[in-house]
Amino acid sequence: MKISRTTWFRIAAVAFILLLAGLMMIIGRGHTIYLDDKTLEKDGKTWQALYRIDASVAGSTQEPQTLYARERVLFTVMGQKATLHLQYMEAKGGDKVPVDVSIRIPYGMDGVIVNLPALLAGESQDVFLSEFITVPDVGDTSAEVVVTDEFAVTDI
Amino acid sequence: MEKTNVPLLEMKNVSKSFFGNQVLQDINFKLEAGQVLGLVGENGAGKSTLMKILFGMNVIKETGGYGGDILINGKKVVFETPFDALEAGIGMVHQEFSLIPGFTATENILLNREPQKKSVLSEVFGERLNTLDRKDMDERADGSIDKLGVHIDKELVVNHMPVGHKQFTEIARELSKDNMNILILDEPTAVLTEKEADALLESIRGMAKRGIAVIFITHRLQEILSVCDKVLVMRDGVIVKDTPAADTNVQEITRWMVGRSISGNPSKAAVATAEKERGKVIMSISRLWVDMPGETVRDVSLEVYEGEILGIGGLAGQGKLGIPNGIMGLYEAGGKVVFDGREIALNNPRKCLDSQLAFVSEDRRGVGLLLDESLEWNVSFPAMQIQNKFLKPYLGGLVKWRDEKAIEEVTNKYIKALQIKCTSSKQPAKELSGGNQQKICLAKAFALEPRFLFVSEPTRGIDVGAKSLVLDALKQFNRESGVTVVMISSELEELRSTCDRIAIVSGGKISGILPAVSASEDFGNLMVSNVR
Amino acid sequence: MKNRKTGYEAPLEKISPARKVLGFARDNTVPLMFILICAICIPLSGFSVNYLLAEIVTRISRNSFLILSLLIPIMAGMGLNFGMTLGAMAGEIGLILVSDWQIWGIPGMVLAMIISIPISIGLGVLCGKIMNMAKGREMITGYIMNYFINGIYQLIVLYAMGVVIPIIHSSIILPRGYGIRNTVSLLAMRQSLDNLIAIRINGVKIPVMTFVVIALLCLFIVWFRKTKLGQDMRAVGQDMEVARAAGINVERTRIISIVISTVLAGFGMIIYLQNMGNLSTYTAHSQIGMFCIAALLVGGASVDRATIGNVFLGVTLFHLMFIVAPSAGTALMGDSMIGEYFRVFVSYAVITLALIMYETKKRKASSKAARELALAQKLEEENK
Repeated sequence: MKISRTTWFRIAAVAFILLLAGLMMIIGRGHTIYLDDKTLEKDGKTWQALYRIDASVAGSTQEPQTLYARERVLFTVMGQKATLHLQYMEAKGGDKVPVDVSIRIPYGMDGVIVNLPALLAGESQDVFLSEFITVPDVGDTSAEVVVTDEFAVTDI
Repeated sequence: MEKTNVPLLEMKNVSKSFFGNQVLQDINFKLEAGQVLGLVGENGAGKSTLMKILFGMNVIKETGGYGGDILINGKKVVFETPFDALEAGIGMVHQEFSLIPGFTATENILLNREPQKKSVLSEVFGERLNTLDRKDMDERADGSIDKLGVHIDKELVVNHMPVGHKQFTEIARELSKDNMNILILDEPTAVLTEKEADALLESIRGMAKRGIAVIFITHRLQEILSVCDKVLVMRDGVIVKDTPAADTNVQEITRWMVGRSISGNPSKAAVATAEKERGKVIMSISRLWVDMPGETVRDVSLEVYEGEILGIGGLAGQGKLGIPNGIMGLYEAGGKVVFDGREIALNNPRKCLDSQLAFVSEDRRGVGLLLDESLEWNVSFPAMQIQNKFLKPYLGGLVKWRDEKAIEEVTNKYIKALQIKCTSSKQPAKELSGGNQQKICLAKAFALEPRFLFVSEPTRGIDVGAKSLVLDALKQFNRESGVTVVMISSELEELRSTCDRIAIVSGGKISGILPAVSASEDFGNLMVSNVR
Repeated sequence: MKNRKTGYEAPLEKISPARKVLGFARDNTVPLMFILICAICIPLSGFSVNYLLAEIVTRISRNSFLILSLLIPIMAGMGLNFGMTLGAMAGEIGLILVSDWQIWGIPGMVLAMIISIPISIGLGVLCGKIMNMAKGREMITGYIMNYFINGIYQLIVLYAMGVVIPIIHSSIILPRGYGIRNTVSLLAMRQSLDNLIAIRINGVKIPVMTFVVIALLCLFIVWFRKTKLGQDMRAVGQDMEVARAAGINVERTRIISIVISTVLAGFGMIIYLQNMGNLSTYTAHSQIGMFCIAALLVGGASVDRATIGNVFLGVTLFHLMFIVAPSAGTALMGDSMIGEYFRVFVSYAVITLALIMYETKKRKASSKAARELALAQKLEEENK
């Protein structure tokens, strides 16, 4: 079967669009990163919470935030790679130690919790990273009425 | 192989019947490249049907196909659709225009055959996203207009063209098809002025020289003799004569067409009517203007005498058709019209009809007839509506019933008087041939028994035999009932043989009125003065 | 002096300035009428010029793409494409899926557009085929098709999603376990196109990138008219039989015009919603057709003729009225509900009025030549 020139171009165009879609899915995937400054106990090891951490995430819409022990802050980021700029103070009045770390977020996880003490101790991803699971508040909304009446005018 | 001269087109024993009615039989003829064939015949003789077969029109297939063979260059061809015919090199210019109104002449000439350039998107989505090559289009349009030999403005939008230009644009379109070698022209000069018709004939000669075979259908016998090589005369579905044009003349052709001799010497009839005494002024028209696209009337003032037959002539597009259309309210008009001492309101057809004015329009399909209705309906309807004729009143006038018998009688009376070819008075009007439809329109007007009758192009599309019939009927109508007739026609000779006086319209105004016996040159001079 | 287009030689006459003004007013009645309404309502409403300017810029950037999608069917003689709502629904489905998959920002938008393409094409072909069966009545057919396809849309979104079509996040699912909620938040891509390149002039934010996209569409439309397909559409739009006799595939051309319009409407809806930041799942598309067509008509378009100029003039005037009318109504009547009602009333009244006025204008235009003749006669008389 001779494939005409036009067909080649069409196959190319469709392939291009599919590739574009795939690309969009990858670079557009958004994740929420929760940074914890909490004492973590895992596999018998313990990492202590630090006194204070100043954190910012490259490319996030949020401003740099400061968290103290037992606090959690939130950053949103697009893409699977996140670069964290951290400055931690181990104890009150101590030195500020700047650290830059890059983490890889698994595609399938919407939200991830990063335990900063473990991260800064140089542990591997399966130690400091865990998934943030949302439990939808069922009792939140009373019977949500689906409005299917199109004669209600909303702002245009 | 022998050096045989295979004819470009040959028809062998072609025949066709519509619902048992044999319309064509034993059609045999040959056409060579570069020959011009004139096809003549009365209305209903079968010319249009023959061309429909040649051009592969659907209606032929839908009604049972045709018998016999068509051969192009010696090979048998069967055309299922007009596109097959086009591909084989046959082009046809119909009587009804097939143009896109909002496009320029160039765009129409190259419709769906525009030269294109590839664009970025056309690689993916296909050829239809090529851009049009406007420059090439202009060049091709110019080339095709050159081939035509008549100057038309290719930038002009069709909507705003005068009628003659539209005709030429159609022909230019056929000429721009490179593979075309047979061109069928169906009544091309019907809407052209004498000058434009001459230009067209010259153009046909040019085409023939270039090797295109032309089939030329017309009722204007002079044109046939002037441009055709061969003449084919048809009558009642058969070819009665196939002769070189050089060997014959108008009288002979007419005789073959109708099978009877045509009497009528213009000058004698004209002399007779010139003796008639002038009555009083029955209609006076002052400062009339009419907005009829293509036939604009700018400033016409005219007086019509009671009982006379006044002719209105002039070149096409100069406004003569606008006069009756405007007065009868079919197109917007202004000015003053006084009939029998009372002013007639313009833009109101009903008022005109109530005042016993009647009008036979040149646009019989659009304005003249209820095509789906029977002949009886068509003939009696206006008289019924306006004058309550052919009605039987019951309950003291509360309920009015149609008097079927009276309607049938009057319809048959006119069918006989005008020799209308039909199966019965109940036949639907659309089944009649063009000329017979025209006769029905006349019958309709006569049935109204008006005091004043406008007749516009009464013999357009009608063959020679019927022409004199129609004109005689008009004259008789005028003589017997004293009806004032105003006849608008583009055929000067016809006017001269029928009318008492003739007014010539030029540039939307009256350029002169002369007695019908005046010399043709005098009328000619009036026609060309003030032409717009 | 011969008019090139008409071939008509207009008699030379001195047109007084007053005459010129009247002529202009007659030709542009609806836009002028709107300017009048706005001129009355703006001071009544009490809004500042800056506020109005900001609002208008927003609305132009939000709605223009949608309205531009209406131009091609008009060219092809399909009239006002009430079926553009089908494209809007396709865009919404794309957005729902993209939200669920947590694709944010511009990539999310692009992905939603890509998803909407096959859906739009399918719906467009369906719509075009049905419109071909109802030639001469395309507009009402499109209008009714909206309700039909809306039913199918609801079937998918209200019942199939969550069951047949997997939805990952139960947060956008109704409490009962299947079907999408009333509103889907598009926070993640909110104004992502607008903010891509945004400049502020005098406190008014101008979303440059969005305007660039709109400009690209305008260029596409201008270019399209020059293509073979565009020419075919123009021919089909004027006389189907002549086009058919010339060999143009009339039915297919008409369908293509609707498909293009539907796909563009899908994109336009996505642009519209990214500006809003919020998707009202079941009502977002319901009025969009009506208002886009109203805006186009207000800009001077008619059923058989619309230009890009009509689009922008229309969106400006129509939305200006839409913004100021309720406040003006409140100022007059003192009740806010009256204001809301007033706005709806004026919207529908305006569409009706636009259609009537254009019909009247068309009739007047056809007798224009007649008046010129009468005038010519008068002048000759005067010059004798």
